[in-house]
Amino acid sequence: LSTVRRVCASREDDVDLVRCAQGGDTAAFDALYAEHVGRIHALCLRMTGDARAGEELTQDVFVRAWRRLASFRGDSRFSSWLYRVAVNVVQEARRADGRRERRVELMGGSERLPRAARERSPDVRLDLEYAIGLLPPGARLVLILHDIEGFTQAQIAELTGTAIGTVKAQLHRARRLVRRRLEQ
Amino acid sequence: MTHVTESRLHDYLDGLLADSERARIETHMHACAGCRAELDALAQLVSEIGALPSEILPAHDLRSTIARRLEITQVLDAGALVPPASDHEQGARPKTARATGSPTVSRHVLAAAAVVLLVLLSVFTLVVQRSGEEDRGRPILALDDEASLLEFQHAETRYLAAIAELETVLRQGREPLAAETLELLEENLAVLDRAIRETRAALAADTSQVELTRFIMASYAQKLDLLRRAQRFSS
Repeated sequence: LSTVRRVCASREDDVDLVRCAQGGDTAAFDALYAEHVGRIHALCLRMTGDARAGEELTQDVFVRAWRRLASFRGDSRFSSWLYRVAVNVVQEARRADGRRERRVELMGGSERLPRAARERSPDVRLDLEYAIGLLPPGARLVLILHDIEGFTQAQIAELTGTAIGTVKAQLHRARRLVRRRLEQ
Repeated sequence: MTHVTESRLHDYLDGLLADSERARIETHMHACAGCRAELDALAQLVSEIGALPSEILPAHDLRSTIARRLEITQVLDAGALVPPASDHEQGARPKTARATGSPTVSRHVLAAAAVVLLVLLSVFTLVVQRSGEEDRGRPILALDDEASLLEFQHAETRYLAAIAELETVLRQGREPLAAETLELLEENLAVLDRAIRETRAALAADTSQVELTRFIMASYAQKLDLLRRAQRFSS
């Protein structure tokens, strides 16, 4: 086992790390965590608009990923698979906790995400993050996935389980709302 | 040419238009300052959004919390009387028992469950007493207590929701359970409820005994398993 661990620890490639993690190697999973936590947390933070909730959701994603790792067959990149897990977790949390969305809207959202973002990235465009934080969750998710993460509209439709026309409409709406907000 | 619609501008920026349509829009842009300004503003916005960080590290290292949560779920998996039936497991089960779902089978299963539960209850009562008398004040897990308790609350909420949902399904089952089976089921559930109640009280009295959350979670897992079985029998 120690030999396997040494082999796994020496690999930087996701495929090898995933294979090792599937075999129960927690060090390999640790390496996968280190590699992907930034993107996953960025999504969770932006979608919750709250540092603590964003971290909790990030934990949920990795806990679920570990538990479902056996179902990853390598048909797609691990990062895509993990992102799909993350989007599912985010969407389930949204459905389960409508109160959070209302709270963000009622509080204007601005006091939440920008503060969290400021702590982590001093150079971040706070006004832009602020405006994105005010978007309705569906439109926000599409904007993040498309304009920040670089997914195509078709990929987002698949990830979120919505029609591509809906994705496009939400993206356009999101940009329109952000622009309007910035112009105010 | 009429002005370019906003939707078309987005599609243009996203590279979703056919060459001919792109050329038509570009021709219009040369002649229309308004549309050009609109496109520039939109392009700048999209560019600024795209420049936002795609990675933001959490303020805290989440690995220890994730590891603890995985540890808890492993305990739950191991603590269940019988793991939740997967398709594979159902396929391996003798067809007669699955097909008939007979009260006899369910009675035996539930009676066996009752014995195991009583043993479990005795064991955990001993542990509760022991932790109260000998180990009081010494955290069993070397973990952050507040985080552990939050995690416990989180997991408990999920369990309670799943249990409530199963109880509803059970009430609406296609076939009511036989009286004898129902009685055994209720006895088992009562044992578990008592176990949960007493352990919760012990935990409330001393929240440093984080280990107690495992017993509570294991009891919830048992309860969920029993309800799942009962639901399968009734349907």
